[in-house]
Amino acid sequence: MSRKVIALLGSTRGKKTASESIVDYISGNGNAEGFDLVKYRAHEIFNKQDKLDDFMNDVIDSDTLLISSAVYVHSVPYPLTVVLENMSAIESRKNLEGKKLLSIFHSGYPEDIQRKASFEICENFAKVTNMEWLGGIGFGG
Amino acid sequence: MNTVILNSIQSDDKLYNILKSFLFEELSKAGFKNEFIDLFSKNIEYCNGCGYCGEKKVGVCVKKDDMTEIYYELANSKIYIFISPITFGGFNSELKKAIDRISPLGVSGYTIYKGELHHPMRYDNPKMFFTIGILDNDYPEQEETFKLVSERLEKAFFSPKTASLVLNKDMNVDSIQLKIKESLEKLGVIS
Repeated sequence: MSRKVIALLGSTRGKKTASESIVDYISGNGNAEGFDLVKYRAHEIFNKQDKLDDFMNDVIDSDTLLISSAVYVHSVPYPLTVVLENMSAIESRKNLEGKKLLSIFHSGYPEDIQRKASFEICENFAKVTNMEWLGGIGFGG
Repeated sequence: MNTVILNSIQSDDKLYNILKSFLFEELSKAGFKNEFIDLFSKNIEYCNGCGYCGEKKVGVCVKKDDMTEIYYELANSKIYIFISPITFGGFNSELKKAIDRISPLGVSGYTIYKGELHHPMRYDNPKMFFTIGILDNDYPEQEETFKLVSERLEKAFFSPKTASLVLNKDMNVDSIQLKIKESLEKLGVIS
């Protein structure tokens, strides 16, 4: 039985984004690696309760959450922040305990420090929700 | 000289009036005209990264909402003060929504500032940048992330004088006022 990975995309620019291209690349290799990947775009779900519920149910049914996003003004973009705030609601946390979290952040700036805050925010989110933080990969320049 | 305070804590929070009244009192005594903006009461759309402000009409945001008045205040204020509950170490979503819209205040090109690549600011502000975060006692490790997030914006704003303050809801009024005074002294606003 293959593992299920939920990808949460933070970029707000629509569908042709670096965040999504990275996830599509990973997804293309998914079958060989033994996992299925389901994508959600934060800007399409953050202000719609039914879509947030669908997303949360998929996360509950999965092993791993992968956050892929551009850095917006030195940290996590607004719609992605809203989704994380919703996920961390007290009543949701018990459903997330033990699930794996990793993140990919990219920006036009070459220095790693420009993406550091975004990774720390995800790590802190993992601590709040008792998820297992696996770390992340940064791309810049 | 002007101060713009972007606030994202709710008005029924017990810290709201303490922070607002004390900041007004101290900044007014120092001769500043203060604009306190409650972001929850504003109609602000989120940035969808359309590129209009950087490519099509540089410095102008295509979205016409309450950020228009905030851009004016930011362009004309020597001090920026950002107040927010700390969420996973960062600003909460309400303040982050406004921060994500700040790109039109930068110019399209890049420069090296303190060894890092940054967009220069369009206006010669802020001269001082002050962040105040309200920390949940259950997550003390988030204080370090908040300082990092604040430091990142200090560099993005090219702000020569900066202060970052973390408060929690158990602090008494005297302690809060003392810490704010210390931060304002660090900034050189009061002596």
